[in-house]
Amino acid sequence: MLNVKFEILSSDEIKKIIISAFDILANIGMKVTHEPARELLLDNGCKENGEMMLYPESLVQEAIHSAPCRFTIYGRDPDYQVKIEPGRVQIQPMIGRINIWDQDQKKARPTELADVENLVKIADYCDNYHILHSGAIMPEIKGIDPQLAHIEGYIASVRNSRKVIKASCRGGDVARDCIEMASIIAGGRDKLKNNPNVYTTCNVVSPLTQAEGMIEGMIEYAKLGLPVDVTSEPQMGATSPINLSGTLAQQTAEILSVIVIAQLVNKGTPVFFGTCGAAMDMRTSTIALGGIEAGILNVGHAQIAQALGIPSRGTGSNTEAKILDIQAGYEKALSLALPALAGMNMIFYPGTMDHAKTVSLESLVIDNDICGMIFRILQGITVNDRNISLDIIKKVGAGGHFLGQRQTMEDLKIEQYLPSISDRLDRKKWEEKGAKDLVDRASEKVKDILKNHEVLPLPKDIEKELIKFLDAKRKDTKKIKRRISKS
Amino acid sequence: MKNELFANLQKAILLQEEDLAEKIAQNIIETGKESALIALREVLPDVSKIVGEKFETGEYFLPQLVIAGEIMVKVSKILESGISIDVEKVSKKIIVIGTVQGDVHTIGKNIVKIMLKTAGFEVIDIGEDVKAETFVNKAEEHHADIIAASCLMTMTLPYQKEIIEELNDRGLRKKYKVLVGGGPVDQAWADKIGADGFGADGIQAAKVAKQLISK
Repeated sequence: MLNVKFEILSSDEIKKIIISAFDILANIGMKVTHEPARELLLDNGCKENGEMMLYPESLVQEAIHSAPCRFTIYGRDPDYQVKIEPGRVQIQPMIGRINIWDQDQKKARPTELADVENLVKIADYCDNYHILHSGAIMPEIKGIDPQLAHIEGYIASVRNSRKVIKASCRGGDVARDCIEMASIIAGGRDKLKNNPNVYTTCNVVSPLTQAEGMIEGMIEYAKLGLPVDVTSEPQMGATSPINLSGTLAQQTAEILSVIVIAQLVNKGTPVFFGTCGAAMDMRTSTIALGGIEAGILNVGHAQIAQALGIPSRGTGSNTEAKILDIQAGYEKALSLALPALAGMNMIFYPGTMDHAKTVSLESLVIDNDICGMIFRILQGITVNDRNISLDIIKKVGAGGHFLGQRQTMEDLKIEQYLPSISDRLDRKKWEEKGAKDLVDRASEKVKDILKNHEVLPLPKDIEKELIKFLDAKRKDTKKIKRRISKS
Repeated sequence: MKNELFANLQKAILLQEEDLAEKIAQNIIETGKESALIALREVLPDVSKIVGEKFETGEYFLPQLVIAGEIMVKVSKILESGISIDVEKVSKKIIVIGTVQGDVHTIGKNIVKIMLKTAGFEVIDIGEDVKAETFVNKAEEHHADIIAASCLMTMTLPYQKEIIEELNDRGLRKKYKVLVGGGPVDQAWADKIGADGFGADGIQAAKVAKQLISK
């Protein structure tokens, strides 16, 4: 739990931003194109102004009130529980990206299904990751029929980890497929509803636009009360104001506009209040996820979520670096530290580089160490009579040492975080061991994990059911393709 | 006198002085059709080149580039209004631009649009969340030379490929050049799907579009 807290906004400033967001929703509105969502909103007091939907403040307040401030997501093994609650930070590494960094070839290449399996297996091993992004999110996996990518990507992911696995909501069909697979794993719809083992991210497109397909998919999750991470992704200066406070107001409105729909579909649906906002670099026209403004934005965002009483989701471990160099290191560390210190409930993006467009097995291992350091910061300093250790200081006396004290042994792993791959050898020993740099050591660690880490196996009957589901979908896809080619 | 007006027009655009640039454009029209034609055919392309260079060397940031571009589009319209016959329109190459199906992002497409316009193309914006079929229909309808498809999300990337497939299916592939761009797009992806060109940003998109047309 969080013992340290960093704030950047005063309570008056938070209020001003939230009131401005209500103002945006009531008077500027949101572009809502998904017809059932439009009808639902109009039935509940929203008004149309051209293509924009205007949300009355009372409706938004009701949604804020009915969104729970805490919930639990389960792994496929129901003993594996991830608590989302105030004062707790969870980390979600990235898995499903179109490119992967190939450390042996020293270049990025398209991600294949075997890569997804390896990435998930590494994330299953890393102790600071509890909720995993997955292959289900990928629209393209090299060598896989795009119509089946979400199914193949999901199965490859659940097979390789007992942890919580994310699924996709890009369109109603994809969402229904993912929910069906999660239901097979849970042992039926009722069990899935009671102990959700899946969640999704519904992105809002800044400025002020809901993506129709994602809303359609999100509604499928909300119907069953499965957690939905509603995330806005503004690029400051390009798709939101250049000013951080303006961006916070706009994205708060954007996120709430979707949370309202989720709560109208099913009151009490667990949601995250999410951002992956960052500055646009005006020299290169690219997003600066690793820019320090993204970190600051995350702090303000977490504070706003806390004021609304909705769990927050942000980004950390972001970098624009194309290789795991010093830029990657400082951007990752700072971007993780800021949201974590602000008490962000879920931080997404470890394992990535290159504007989060490329994933890396080595980065997953390195970022796990940075997360460990971050959690050590959050643990703070425990001050009590035992830890102040007057008796031990007296016993050891002048010129003695503490190495032989039982308390040193007992508290070592509580007081000190021991990173798995940082180098702390003296130079001579480091040279004797091959003078390896961080990425070389991470690469060795990756190979070791892939060879030796045993994942809790997927029960045989579930595996069989999932394959049956995949085969049936494969046949459907073939039929459709045959029909198209005939016509 | 004319040369002074041309120099002032260039200066006003480079300083992003919109009102002033528009006023000078009006003054140019008043001196005659010939001046308007020179401004359109020589002065604006020159300024456009300078703006592009200033962006590439880091002197200009994206907002200067976009605002200068928007001013140039407005100035062109004023100058064109001073030429009675549609000489300029006739010679302009046409680009149909849109964001692919499933993707409602506008920013990248809109920046590219401005750059293409300032590079002298006539740009038909067919909006966002556009189906492959519509891209091709609109290209046919407007007798376009180039189809430009933008996408920001990796999940909508496959729809760029669908445009090429649609062109192949309808036997129209050779009729159009296809230009792709957007956050997750790179040269490798463009090559993979068989696009004719890729632009990492607006400036590059305009350069590539010009190369495609001159081929």
